[in-house]
Amino acid sequence: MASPRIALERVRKVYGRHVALDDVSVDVRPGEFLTLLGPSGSGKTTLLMAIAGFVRPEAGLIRIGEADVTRLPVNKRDIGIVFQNYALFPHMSVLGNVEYPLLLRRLPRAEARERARAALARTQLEGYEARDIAALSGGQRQRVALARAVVFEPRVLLMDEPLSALDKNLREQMQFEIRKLQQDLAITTIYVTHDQREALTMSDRIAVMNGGRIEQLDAPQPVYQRPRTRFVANFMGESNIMPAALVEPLGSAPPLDGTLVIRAENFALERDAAGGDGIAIKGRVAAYAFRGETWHLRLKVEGERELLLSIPSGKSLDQAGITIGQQLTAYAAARHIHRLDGGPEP
Amino acid sequence: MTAMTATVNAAGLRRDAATERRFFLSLALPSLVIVGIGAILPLFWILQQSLATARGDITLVNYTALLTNGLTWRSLLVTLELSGGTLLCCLVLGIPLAFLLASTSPRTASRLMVLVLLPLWTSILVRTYGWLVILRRDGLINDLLVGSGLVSEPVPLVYNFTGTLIGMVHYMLPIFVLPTYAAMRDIDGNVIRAAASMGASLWHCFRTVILPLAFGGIASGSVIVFVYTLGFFITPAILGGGRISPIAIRIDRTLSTLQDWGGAAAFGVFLLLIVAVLGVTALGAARLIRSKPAAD
Amino acid sequence: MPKLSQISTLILALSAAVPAWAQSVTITTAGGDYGTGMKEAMWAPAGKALGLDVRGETQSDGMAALRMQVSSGNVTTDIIHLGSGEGAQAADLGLLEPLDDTVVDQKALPSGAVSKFCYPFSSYGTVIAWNTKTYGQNGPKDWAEFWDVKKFPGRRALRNNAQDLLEAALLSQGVPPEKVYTTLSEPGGIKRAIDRLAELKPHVAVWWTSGAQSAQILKDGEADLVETWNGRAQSVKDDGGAAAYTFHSSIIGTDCLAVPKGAPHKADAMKLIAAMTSPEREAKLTDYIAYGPMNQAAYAGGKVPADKMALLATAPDNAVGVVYADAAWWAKHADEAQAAFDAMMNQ
Repeated sequence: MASPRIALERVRKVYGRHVALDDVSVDVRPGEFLTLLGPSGSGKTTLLMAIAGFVRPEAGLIRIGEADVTRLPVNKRDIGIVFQNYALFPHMSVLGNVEYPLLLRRLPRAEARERARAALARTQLEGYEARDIAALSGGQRQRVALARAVVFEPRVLLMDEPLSALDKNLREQMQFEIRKLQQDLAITTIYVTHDQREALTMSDRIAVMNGGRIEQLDAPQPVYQRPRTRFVANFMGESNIMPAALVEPLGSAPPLDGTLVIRAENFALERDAAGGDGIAIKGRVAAYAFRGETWHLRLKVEGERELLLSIPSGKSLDQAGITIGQQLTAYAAARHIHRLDGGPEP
Repeated sequence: MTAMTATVNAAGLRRDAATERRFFLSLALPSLVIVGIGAILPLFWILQQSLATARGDITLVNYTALLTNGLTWRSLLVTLELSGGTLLCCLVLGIPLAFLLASTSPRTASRLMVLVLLPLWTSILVRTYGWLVILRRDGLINDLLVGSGLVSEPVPLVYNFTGTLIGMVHYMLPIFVLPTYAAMRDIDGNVIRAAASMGASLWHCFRTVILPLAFGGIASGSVIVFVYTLGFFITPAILGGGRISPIAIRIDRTLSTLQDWGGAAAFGVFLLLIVAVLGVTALGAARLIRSKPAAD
Repeated sequence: MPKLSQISTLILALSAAVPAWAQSVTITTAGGDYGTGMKEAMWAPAGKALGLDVRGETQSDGMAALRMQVSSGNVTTDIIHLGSGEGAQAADLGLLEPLDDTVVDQKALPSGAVSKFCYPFSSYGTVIAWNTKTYGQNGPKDWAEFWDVKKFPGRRALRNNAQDLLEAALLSQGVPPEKVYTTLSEPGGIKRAIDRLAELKPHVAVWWTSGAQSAQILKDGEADLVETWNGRAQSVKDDGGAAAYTFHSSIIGTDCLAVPKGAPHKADAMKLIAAMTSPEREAKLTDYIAYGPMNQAAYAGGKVPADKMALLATAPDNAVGVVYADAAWWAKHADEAQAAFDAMMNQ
């Protein structure tokens, strides 16, 4: 049975005066990996919990497949969930945890054991069956939680910041493992995180949330390169948002208007990088820092505005070549210049 | 040179450490003195009384008289029935109550907690007489029962085992709920959510997740209730109507009606031993169950 | 007045450990209305007249307090208020100083009430009381009728103690008052009384342990027939309770005052006992509580008003067909009697 779509229609949740979900509508495609990305308080976890059934919305429809589950209790929704702190049963062994949903479904004990072992094998946990939860590392617990969430073949999978407690290396490894598992199972998945890189790495599509709304719903690349709103631009990393009047069109470039977004890494210090229709901005170095693969520059430009530049190290720049107050011109190619939809001048 | 550096200032630092230890020990001194004078000394006095005749000779006659008296064993049986009954009622009433407290918001929980604890702040005499007013023949409950035509004759709710049990459960329930609630409150809410998401009904979740995780609190609450009630006196004295004679009532009887101090002291030692044996057994059992590899 | 034990040994131990601070005569009573009456009518005015600084203490179980004080060697009370049964027992155990006959006058007492150790000063009757809603004014007129469950069907309440009940049980079988203690002393005498109690046991709804409890039971109608003390029965009537009682065939007990062995102010204590039991002061006690004076002179000369006289167990008109509780018999047989009683209760 193929994993179904999840469709939300004008889901609303209010806590007192705080609107946690402001008429959110979203359609998650069958088998899709959708990430809800946003800062804390943006409503992403509330939305996930509403889908899971732990949060009762004030209004709206939640569908899994064709069925309306809005008023269905949690334990009837057939959803696998991985929680932020793993939420494993501390009084059961690894195997006990993974068998739990199977025994709950009255599977014969032998079959339950067989399937639980298979799920543990899938998450590289063979040989850990008899261990106590307390004896596991964070990564191993994460794998148990994952095995437990999928072992009963739920219709969809929800994950609430499952990797936030892991260190950076392990996190990156787990991102790939989770993604692979999800693709192998072809299970519709909604994943909550506040980590942009994680969202970009894992998702088919990203829904950037802010103030209880989805600001932008797109594949990773468009979200990264063509943020639709100022919030998304800011949230997706080191971007420069500036009025078009500040930049100087080069060559055949047509005059620009409105508000422009240029990512820090899309600037270069060579004229060539801008191509025939790029732009240039002049400024003085206000601060600089070495970040390994890049140099990080703050350029003071017209009107006390600061420009963020991320220049590959060793290529066009070395430390001796930078001094505070030094005059520089930054260039950007036309394809890296993105125009924001409307919005007032910053 | 290394050996030299290792001993630099070592004596002074050791002295500091010792002074610090002595200071913390001295903090415990007042309570040790109070326990010594208030609890240990009287215990020796009772022990001595139990081993002495009226003339002061050392004898075991008080113990042989006690252990050969059928009333002693009968009172022990009544005591165990009362303590066991109280514990059972506390389990049945207290676990859902603790669950309710643990699952409401902290604000509501703290308000409900005040209600739960309120009985602890009133005198046991006041509470016990309160129950008398409610349970007696022309009391609130019988008025309602007879008034509504459910029964034609008032039901005997007090001056018997039932009344005594009600009074004791009322007294012990908060004491049971406190550790149970604390254990349940410490359960990660996501663990319960996880069980529900996998399809567990509330009841199943309660049975397979909440109860095992709250076991420590429930066990300590149970031990407290059972051991504490072994020495109950006021409640059976007032609500038992003279029919319920647990050990504490027998001790009082031996002391004040029979004026047999040696016998009463021996009875006291007997009760103390029972409490000690049952308490140690219960704690041992609880530890055993907890250390057992988790059930699948 | 029997000392009702509602207090644990621990509390006794603690209170006994408090040393006497002031150099004054200390009197220990049972407290309550009774204690207040004793203070206002008897020891406060008597102490004032003697120029003594008297301090009152309260112990619901005077006998236990006495034992604790004497056995621990820390006697803090100079006068203790006991039931006469307890007084006899305490004397047997050597807990009391003998009364100084040159100071305490025994001649005013009825013959047979004289005691070398504990001076009787007030009396009460263990009476039959009933709920007038159940029986109207025509309650049982003696213990035989109290036992008669056909003539008087209903719930009984008895004291959870052999004392007075053994006497009542024999009276109910027609044993004449003057033969009660000789019958009890015969072989099988106690068993006979206990067996008679066992017959009534199925009809006993409550076995009460304190006087206050017996009054409550009478007042609430928890039981229809209540063995209680006349003072308690009267207070229920005074409170408007549907209760009546009869002095007929009551068992009369006395309370007494004694000086504990090793009391710190023995001589002053004797003087105070003598002064507080004068006819006037005993008569005055009846203003506070319906216990009959033992000093027979108290009844003479109208010191007790006629309406009050009707409420006193030892008033000449009331003390008819009654049994005077024999403290000496009880001191000798209490253990055996109570043990038999407890065995019957637990059957």
